[in-house]
Amino acid sequence: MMTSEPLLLASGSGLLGFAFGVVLYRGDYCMVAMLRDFFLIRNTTLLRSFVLYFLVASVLFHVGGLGSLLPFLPPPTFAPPSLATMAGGVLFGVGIVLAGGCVVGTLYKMAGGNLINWIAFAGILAGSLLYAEVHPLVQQFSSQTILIHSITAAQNNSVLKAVILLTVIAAGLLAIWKWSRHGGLNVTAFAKGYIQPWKTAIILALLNFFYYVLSGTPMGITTAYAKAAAYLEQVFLPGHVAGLAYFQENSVIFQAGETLITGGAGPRMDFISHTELALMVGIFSGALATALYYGEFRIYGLPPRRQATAALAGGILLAMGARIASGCNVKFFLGGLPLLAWQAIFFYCGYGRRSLDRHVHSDSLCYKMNYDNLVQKQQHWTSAMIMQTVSMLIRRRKKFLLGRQS
Amino acid sequence: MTDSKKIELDILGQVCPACLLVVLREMNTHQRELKNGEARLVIRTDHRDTTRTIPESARKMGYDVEVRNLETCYEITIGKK
Repeated sequence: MMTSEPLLLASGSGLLGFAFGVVLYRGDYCMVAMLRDFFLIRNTTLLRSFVLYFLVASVLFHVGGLGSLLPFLPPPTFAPPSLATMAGGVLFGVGIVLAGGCVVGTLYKMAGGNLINWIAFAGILAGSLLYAEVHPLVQQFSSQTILIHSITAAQNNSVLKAVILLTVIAAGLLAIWKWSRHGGLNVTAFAKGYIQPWKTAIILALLNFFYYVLSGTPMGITTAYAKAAAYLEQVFLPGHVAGLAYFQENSVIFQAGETLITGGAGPRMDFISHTELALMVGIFSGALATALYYGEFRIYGLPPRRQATAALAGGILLAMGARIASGCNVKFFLGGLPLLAWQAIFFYCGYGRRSLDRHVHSDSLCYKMNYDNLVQKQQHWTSAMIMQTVSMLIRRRKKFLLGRQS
Repeated sequence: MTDSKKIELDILGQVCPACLLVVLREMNTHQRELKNGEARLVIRTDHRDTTRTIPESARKMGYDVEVRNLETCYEITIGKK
């Protein structure tokens, strides 16, 4: 099913991107909000819908891989995980919280006319250019710190892989069934044309699957940002761009039938332009069309300076993070986790932890306000964790001592 | 809620998590008036996600919430009926 015909690939990616943008905007499916809801207001509805996404995507990907729909399993854009994957995850986690959106979140929110997200967008472009300057160093670090020499868990053991997948899917199904019985998958929202998160999750899984079938890789988007930034830099500093290794190299090389397919971040037309860049343009146009349709497109002027600075810094950090880890939440969570890719798992280890810590912190940074109740909540939570650990240790110690006495 | 004192809060153009935090702070500042129905908090926002998070948090805190679709934004009213 996979095609290497540029026009077909670009129009297909663009169309899927358009649908993606419409659904993201209407469902306001923000992956930063998933974590924010959990840590600020202890709400897991969005996180639950991600479990549903995971279930649908992993079934589609693996069943598609058994047939001839998906020729590459794992896809050629994935690599073995290294320490750089984790480090990138940490930077990315800090970045998205400051920027108020991830790489696609920023795109669909820009369409509403919000200047904060436009500033974050500029930050992502700037961060990508900054990365190009240090690329050789990062690459060296990455190749020297490989953690596991395989791309996915149980890569060469199909029985073990099936067991892992079936266990995870069964656990997920059980959880979904439990939540849906108590109406725990639906939310009350008043936004125009809102799509429930569980429906959004299913649609996104289907779109990502179609994209995988079309292009041979699951969705990714950050290299498109780097490419767009490279085109811009080339206007001003063509000599410098030509001298940067990152813009000369190909980050994707694979054989599809008789054609050798290549793609990279440099300012040239290649596989990345036909897939990621088309997808990026599609997502933005889809979200913009929806915003215009609901009459929600409006520019309110510049945000407070603190918020603007945070958004710019966040954009730069998240772009650096994504480049260091060579991927972002779209590639790793939407594509990598259902494929059991090690990179996705290690990226998550970094990403998850940092985002949690940053939430309360970034707010005080942006607004310099004293959110007593929130900080207290965080402290309660932390102290509860500590208390639990201490009490566990005490219980063990007690058992140990009592055992000795008798 | 219509006859009580109206406290207006304009968060147009602001995004998460600022929206929710600013509203929570405002709710805490006017907690007494809001709880006994002397005042109501009227928020204007264009951030779609806020129409989900603010009503939910306010209801959890025991307030009554109304949301209206205005032409290019949303108006959320928090108070006691």
